Amino acid sequence: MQMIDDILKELAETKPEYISEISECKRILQKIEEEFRHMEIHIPRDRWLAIGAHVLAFVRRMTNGERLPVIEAELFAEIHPDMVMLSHKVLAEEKGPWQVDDTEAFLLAVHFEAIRAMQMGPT
Amino acid sequence: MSKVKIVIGDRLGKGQNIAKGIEAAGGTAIVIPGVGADMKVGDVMVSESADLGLSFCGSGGAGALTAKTKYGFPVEYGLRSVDAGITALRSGNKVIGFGFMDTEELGRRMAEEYIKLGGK
Repeated sequence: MQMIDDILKELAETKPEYISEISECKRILQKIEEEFRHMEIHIPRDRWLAIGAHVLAFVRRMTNGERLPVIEAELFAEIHPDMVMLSHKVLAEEKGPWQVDDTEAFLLAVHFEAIRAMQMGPT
Repeated sequence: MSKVKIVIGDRLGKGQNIAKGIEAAGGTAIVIPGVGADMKVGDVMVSESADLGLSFCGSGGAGALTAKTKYGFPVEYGLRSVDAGITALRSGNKVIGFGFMDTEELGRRMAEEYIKLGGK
């Protein structure tokens, strides 16, 4: 938990315009922390920082109703399907207005895949 | 005089159009292949002794911040336009992160500005 707070503090200092997205970002980062703890996979600090920046931008896109372009289906073959599934799971907002699409799930899953591959070897 | 060398890392492994723009401006472009390329921008900048790195994903932040954490490069990210990129370059940043923008114009103008600033 301290890691998440530290990361968010650093991000808020460098990107003060993202301050309104911080609390939602924290909720998603806590879900990620919990999932990786269950899998017994450690997330190094530099990966946390990258994920934090990504999730902050994700929350801003969702808040603004912004959609990224659809990505090619074949790119999904490059990462472990469990990481895509996990990404969908942590981004799903049960009470919120947004619908997470495959592009958003994929972009976060690439972060998860980088951590998974680093600690468990390539798929 | 050596050419300006710019590394491109895109989360989806793209950036070929940016590379064309860089080369049209007289620079050398290195496109990192494969998914997750944005996170390798700092590593490739160091291994290739590059002058500048460009990172692309939803905000370009992951690649830029990874490069800053690992190598101490000054970075700016979350940019959405070529003009914002030029401003970041003029401010002395070495890794600049954008949303997805694989355009020749971006590569050409960033390389031209770097040369104009006297970097090369």
